[in-house]
Amino acid sequence: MSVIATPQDLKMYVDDAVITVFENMLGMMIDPSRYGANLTLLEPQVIGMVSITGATQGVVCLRVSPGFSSEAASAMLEMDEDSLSEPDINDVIGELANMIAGKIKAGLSTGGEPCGLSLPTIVRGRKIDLESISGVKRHSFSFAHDCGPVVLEIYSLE
Amino acid sequence: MNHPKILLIDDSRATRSVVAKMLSGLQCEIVEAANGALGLDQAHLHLPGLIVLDMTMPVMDGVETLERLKADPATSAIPVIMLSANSNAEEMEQMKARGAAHYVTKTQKPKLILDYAMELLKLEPKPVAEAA
Repeated sequence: MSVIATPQDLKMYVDDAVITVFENMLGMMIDPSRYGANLTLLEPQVIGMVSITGATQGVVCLRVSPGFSSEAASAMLEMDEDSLSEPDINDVIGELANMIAGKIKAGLSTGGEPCGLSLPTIVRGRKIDLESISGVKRHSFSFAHDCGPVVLEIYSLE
Repeated sequence: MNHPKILLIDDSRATRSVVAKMLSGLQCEIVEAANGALGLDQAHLHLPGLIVLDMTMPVMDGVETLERLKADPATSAIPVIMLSANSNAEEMEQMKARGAAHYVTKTQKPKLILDYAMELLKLEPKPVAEAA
Protein backbone atom coordinates (compact mmCIF):
# COMPACT_ATOMS: atom_id res chain seq x y z
CA MET A 1 0.00 0.00 0.00
CA SER A 2 1.28 3.44 -0.71
CA VAL A 3 -0.53 4.81 2.34
CA ILE A 4 1.46 4.58 5.55
CA ALA A 5 -0.26 2.89 8.46
CA THR A 6 1.18 1.93 11.80
CA PRO A 7 1.42 -1.82 12.46
CA GLN A 8 -1.30 -1.41 15.08
CA ASP A 9 -3.62 0.36 12.64
CA LEU A 10 -2.94 -2.21 9.92
CA LYS A 11 -3.73 -5.08 12.29
CA MET A 12 -6.91 -3.31 13.37
CA TYR A 13 -8.07 -2.87 9.75
CA VAL A 14 -7.18 -6.47 8.84
CA ASP A 15 -8.85 -7.96 11.91
CA ASP A 16 -12.00 -5.94 11.28
CA ALA A 17 -12.10 -6.84 7.57
CA VAL A 18 -11.51 -10.58 7.98
CA ILE A 19 -13.81 -11.03 10.97
CA THR A 20 -16.61 -8.96 9.36
CA VAL A 21 -16.46 -10.76 6.02
CA PHE A 22 -16.37 -14.25 7.52
CA GLU A 23 -19.22 -13.45 9.90
CA ASN A 24 -21.47 -11.57 7.44
CA MET A 25 -20.94 -13.78 4.40
CA LEU A 26 -20.36 -17.22 5.93
CA GLY A 27 -21.71 -17.02 9.47
CA MET A 28 -18.24 -18.20 10.60
CA MET A 29 -16.76 -16.72 13.75
CA ILE A 30 -12.97 -16.61 13.61
CA ASP A 31 -10.40 -15.72 16.25
CA PRO A 32 -7.64 -13.29 15.26
CA SER A 33 -5.23 -14.05 18.05
CA ARG A 34 -4.55 -17.73 18.64
CA TYR A 35 -1.69 -18.37 16.18
CA GLY A 36 -0.02 -14.96 16.10
CA ALA A 37 1.70 -13.46 13.06
CA ASN A 38 3.79 -15.24 10.41
CA LEU A 39 2.01 -18.60 10.58
CA THR A 40 3.13 -20.82 7.69
CA LEU A 41 0.59 -23.22 6.24
CA LEU A 42 2.41 -26.50 5.56
CA GLU A 43 -0.45 -28.36 3.94
CA PRO A 44 -1.81 -27.75 0.42
CA GLN A 45 -3.35 -24.34 0.04
CA VAL A 46 -6.02 -22.44 -1.82
CA ILE A 47 -4.98 -18.81 -2.20
CA GLY A 48 -7.20 -15.94 -3.29
CA MET A 49 -5.29 -12.85 -4.46
CA VAL A 50 -6.62 -9.38 -5.24
CA SER A 51 -4.60 -6.32 -6.28
CA ILE A 52 -5.43 -2.85 -5.09
CA THR A 53 -4.68 -0.30 -7.79
CA GLY A 54 -4.57 3.48 -7.97
CA ALA A 55 -3.59 5.88 -5.21
CA THR A 56 -3.39 2.95 -2.78
CA GLN A 57 -1.46 -0.04 -4.11
CA GLY A 58 -0.82 -3.54 -2.84
CA VAL A 59 -1.74 -7.19 -3.08
CA VAL A 60 -3.98 -8.99 -0.61
CA CYS A 61 -3.63 -12.79 -0.30
CA LEU A 62 -6.07 -15.02 1.56
CA ARG A 63 -4.59 -18.48 2.29
CA VAL A 64 -6.65 -21.43 3.54
CA SER A 65 -6.47 -25.21 3.32
CA PRO A 66 -8.54 -27.10 0.74
CA GLY A 67 -10.69 -28.42 3.59
CA PHE A 68 -11.35 -24.94 4.88
CA SER A 69 -12.09 -23.66 1.38
CA SER A 70 -14.73 -26.39 0.98
CA GLU A 71 -16.30 -25.50 4.33
CA ALA A 72 -16.41 -21.84 3.32
CA ALA A 73 -17.93 -22.57 -0.08
CA SER A 74 -20.49 -24.89 1.49
CA ALA A 75 -21.48 -22.17 3.96
CA MET A 76 -21.75 -19.41 1.36
CA LEU A 77 -23.51 -21.42 -1.35
CA GLU A 78 -25.54 -23.52 1.12
CA MET A 79 -24.52 -26.69 -0.70
CA ASP A 80 -23.16 -30.02 0.52
CA GLU A 81 -19.38 -30.15 0.24
CA ASP A 82 -19.68 -33.29 -1.93
CA SER A 83 -21.62 -31.40 -4.58
CA LEU A 84 -19.22 -28.45 -4.83
CA SER A 85 -17.06 -28.13 -7.93
CA GLU A 86 -13.57 -26.59 -7.98
CA PRO A 87 -14.90 -23.48 -9.81
CA ASP A 88 -17.52 -23.08 -7.04
CA ILE A 89 -14.78 -23.11 -4.40
CA ASN A 90 -12.52 -20.80 -6.41
CA ASP A 91 -15.40 -18.37 -6.81
CA VAL A 92 -16.04 -18.23 -3.07
CA ILE A 93 -12.37 -17.86 -2.06
CA GLY A 94 -11.86 -15.20 -4.74
CA GLU A 95 -14.93 -13.29 -3.61
CA LEU A 96 -13.88 -13.45 0.04
CA ALA A 97 -10.44 -12.10 -0.89
CA ASN A 98 -12.14 -9.37 -2.92
CA MET A 99 -14.37 -8.26 -0.05
CA ILE A 100 -11.52 -8.36 2.48
CA ALA A 101 -9.27 -6.32 0.17
CA GLY A 102 -12.02 -3.75 -0.35
CA LYS A 103 -12.58 -3.30 3.34
CA ILE A 104 -8.87 -3.08 4.19
CA LYS A 105 -8.35 -0.56 1.42
CA ALA A 106 -11.19 1.57 2.76
CA GLY A 107 -9.47 1.69 6.15
CA LEU A 108 -6.05 2.51 4.76
CA SER A 109 -6.73 5.03 2.04
CA THR A 110 -7.25 8.69 2.65
CA GLY A 111 -10.47 10.32 1.50
CA GLY A 112 -11.11 11.01 -2.15
CA GLU A 113 -8.19 9.10 -3.65
CA PRO A 114 -9.30 7.01 -6.62
CA CYS A 115 -8.39 3.34 -6.43
CA GLY A 116 -9.88 0.08 -7.47
CA LEU A 117 -9.69 -3.69 -7.08
CA SER A 118 -8.59 -6.26 -9.63
CA LEU A 119 -10.54 -9.38 -10.46
CA PRO A 120 -9.48 -12.15 -8.05
CA THR A 121 -6.85 -14.75 -8.96
CA ILE A 122 -6.80 -18.25 -7.43
CA VAL A 123 -3.65 -20.31 -6.88
CA ARG A 124 -3.69 -23.89 -5.60
CA GLY A 125 -0.75 -25.99 -4.49
CA ARG A 126 1.54 -27.21 -1.73
CA LYS A 127 4.23 -25.06 -0.08
CA ILE A 128 3.64 -21.90 -2.08
CA ASP A 129 5.95 -19.00 -1.28
CA LEU A 130 5.31 -15.57 -2.71
CA GLU A 131 8.58 -13.68 -2.96
CA SER A 132 8.64 -9.93 -2.70
CA ILE A 133 10.60 -7.77 -5.09
CA SER A 134 12.86 -5.10 -3.64
CA GLY A 135 11.00 -2.44 -1.72
CA VAL A 136 7.91 -4.54 -1.15
CA LYS A 137 7.10 -5.62 2.38
CA ARG A 138 5.03 -8.64 3.44
CA HIS A 139 2.62 -8.22 6.34
CA SER A 140 1.12 -11.47 7.65
CA PHE A 141 -1.83 -12.06 9.97
CA SER A 142 -3.38 -15.31 11.10
CA PHE A 143 -6.79 -16.32 12.31
CA ALA A 144 -8.22 -19.47 13.83
CA HIS A 145 -11.38 -21.45 13.23
CA ASP A 146 -12.37 -25.01 14.05
CA CYS A 147 -11.94 -25.85 10.36
CA GLY A 148 -8.31 -24.67 10.42
CA PRO A 149 -6.18 -21.55 10.21
CA VAL A 150 -6.70 -18.59 7.90
CA VAL A 151 -3.69 -16.51 6.82
CA LEU A 152 -4.09 -13.03 5.40
CA GLU A 153 -1.06 -11.39 3.79
CA ILE A 154 -0.59 -7.90 2.43
CA TYR A 155 2.28 -7.07 0.08
CA SER A 156 2.92 -3.32 0.02
CA LEU A 157 5.55 -0.75 -0.79
CA GLU A 158 7.84 -0.09 2.18
CA MET B 1 -50.62 -12.16 -10.34
CA ASN B 2 -47.27 -11.28 -11.88
CA HIS B 3 -44.46 -11.06 -9.39
CA PRO B 4 -41.86 -8.35 -9.96
CA LYS B 5 -38.54 -9.52 -11.36
CA ILE B 6 -35.15 -8.71 -9.89
CA LEU B 7 -32.08 -9.03 -12.11
CA LEU B 8 -28.81 -9.89 -10.33
CA ILE B 9 -25.69 -9.09 -12.40
CA ASP B 10 -22.48 -10.35 -10.78
CA ASP B 11 -19.67 -12.55 -12.05
CA SER B 12 -19.52 -14.34 -8.69
CA ARG B 13 -22.03 -17.14 -8.42
CA ALA B 14 -21.41 -17.08 -4.67
CA THR B 15 -22.46 -13.45 -4.36
CA ARG B 16 -25.50 -14.00 -6.60
CA SER B 17 -26.43 -16.89 -4.32
CA VAL B 18 -26.13 -14.78 -1.15
CA VAL B 19 -28.15 -11.91 -2.62
CA ALA B 20 -30.80 -14.24 -4.08
CA LYS B 21 -31.11 -15.93 -0.69
CA MET B 22 -31.55 -12.54 0.97
CA LEU B 23 -34.28 -11.57 -1.50
CA SER B 24 -36.02 -14.95 -1.45
CA GLY B 25 -38.54 -13.74 1.15
CA LEU B 26 -39.93 -11.25 -1.35
CA GLN B 27 -42.45 -12.58 -3.80
CA CYS B 28 -40.17 -11.86 -6.73
CA GLU B 29 -38.71 -13.78 -9.63
CA ILE B 30 -34.91 -13.71 -9.59
CA VAL B 31 -33.06 -13.58 -12.91
CA GLU B 32 -29.26 -13.81 -13.01
CA ALA B 33 -26.45 -12.75 -15.35
CA ALA B 34 -22.69 -13.26 -14.99
CA ASN B 35 -21.46 -10.01 -16.55
CA GLY B 36 -22.70 -6.66 -17.78
CA ALA B 37 -23.13 -7.67 -21.41
CA LEU B 38 -25.29 -10.64 -20.48
CA GLY B 39 -27.06 -8.43 -17.95
CA LEU B 40 -28.08 -5.92 -20.63
CA ASP B 41 -29.57 -8.77 -22.66
CA GLN B 42 -31.51 -10.01 -19.64
CA ALA B 43 -32.65 -6.48 -18.78
CA HIS B 44 -34.15 -6.04 -22.24
CA LEU B 45 -35.68 -9.50 -22.21
CA HIS B 46 -37.31 -9.31 -18.77
CA LEU B 47 -37.62 -5.57 -18.05
CA PRO B 48 -37.15 -6.24 -14.32
CA GLY B 49 -38.48 -4.03 -11.54
CA LEU B 50 -35.01 -3.81 -10.00
CA ILE B 51 -31.41 -4.53 -10.97
CA VAL B 52 -28.62 -5.37 -8.50
CA LEU B 53 -25.36 -4.67 -10.34
CA ASP B 54 -21.79 -5.56 -9.36
CA MET B 55 -19.08 -2.97 -10.04
CA THR B 56 -16.12 -5.21 -10.97
CA MET B 57 -16.78 -7.86 -13.60
CA PRO B 58 -15.08 -9.27 -16.70
CA VAL B 59 -16.39 -8.54 -20.23
CA MET B 60 -18.37 -5.44 -19.18
CA ASP B 61 -18.05 -3.86 -15.73
CA GLY B 62 -20.78 -2.29 -13.66
CA VAL B 63 -19.96 1.30 -14.57
CA GLU B 64 -20.39 0.75 -18.31
CA THR B 65 -23.45 -1.42 -17.72
CA LEU B 66 -25.08 1.29 -15.60
CA GLU B 67 -24.33 3.94 -18.23
CA ARG B 68 -25.87 1.79 -20.96
CA LEU B 69 -28.93 0.99 -18.88
CA LYS B 70 -29.54 4.66 -18.13
CA ALA B 71 -28.90 5.75 -21.74
CA ASP B 72 -31.49 3.34 -23.13
CA PRO B 73 -35.11 4.54 -22.90
CA ALA B 74 -36.26 0.92 -22.52
CA THR B 75 -34.28 0.42 -19.31
CA SER B 76 -33.52 3.91 -18.01
CA ALA B 77 -36.33 3.91 -15.44
CA ILE B 78 -35.34 0.59 -13.84
CA PRO B 79 -33.84 1.32 -10.40
CA VAL B 80 -30.31 -0.01 -9.91
CA ILE B 81 -28.54 -0.96 -6.69
CA MET B 82 -24.77 -0.94 -7.22
CA LEU B 83 -22.86 -3.66 -5.37
CA SER B 84 -19.13 -3.27 -4.72
CA ALA B 85 -16.35 -4.76 -2.63
CA ASN B 86 -14.69 -1.36 -2.86
CA SER B 87 -15.93 0.82 -0.02
CA ASN B 88 -15.33 4.31 -1.38
CA ALA B 89 -17.39 7.41 -0.70
CA GLU B 90 -16.31 9.09 -3.94
CA GLU B 91 -17.26 6.04 -6.00
CA MET B 92 -20.62 5.99 -4.23
CA GLU B 93 -21.31 9.60 -5.22
CA GLN B 94 -20.17 8.94 -8.80
CA MET B 95 -22.52 5.99 -9.17
CA LYS B 96 -25.44 7.93 -7.74
CA ALA B 97 -24.67 10.79 -10.12
CA ARG B 98 -24.84 8.29 -12.99
CA GLY B 99 -28.28 7.18 -11.92
CA ALA B 100 -27.82 4.40 -9.34
CA ALA B 101 -30.50 4.43 -6.66
CA HIS B 102 -28.23 3.00 -3.97
CA TYR B 103 -24.64 1.83 -3.53
CA VAL B 104 -24.00 -1.12 -1.21
CA THR B 105 -20.61 -2.53 -0.25
CA LYS B 106 -20.47 -6.30 -0.08
CA THR B 107 -19.19 -6.25 3.48
CA GLN B 108 -22.25 -4.43 4.76
CA LYS B 109 -25.00 -6.50 6.32
CA PRO B 110 -26.68 -8.36 3.43
CA LYS B 111 -30.09 -7.36 4.83
CA LEU B 112 -29.42 -3.81 3.60
CA ILE B 113 -30.06 -5.01 0.05
CA LEU B 114 -33.40 -6.45 1.16
CA ASP B 115 -34.39 -3.13 2.72
CA TYR B 116 -33.44 -1.19 -0.41
CA ALA B 117 -35.20 -3.72 -2.66
CA MET B 118 -38.42 -3.38 -0.68
CA GLU B 119 -38.15 0.40 -0.86
CA LEU B 120 -37.53 0.48 -4.60
CA LEU B 121 -40.15 -2.15 -5.44
CA LYS B 122 -42.57 -0.44 -3.05
CA LEU B 123 -43.14 -3.67 -1.14
CA GLU B 124 -44.52 -3.73 2.39
CA PRO B 125 -42.83 -5.86 5.08
CA LYS B 126 -44.73 -9.02 5.92
CA PRO B 127 -46.87 -8.72 9.06
CA VAL B 128 -45.34 -10.62 11.98
CA ALA B 129 -48.24 -13.10 12.21
CA GLU B 130 -47.98 -13.90 8.48
CA ALA B 131 -44.20 -14.20 8.59
CA ALA B 132 -44.47 -16.66 11.50
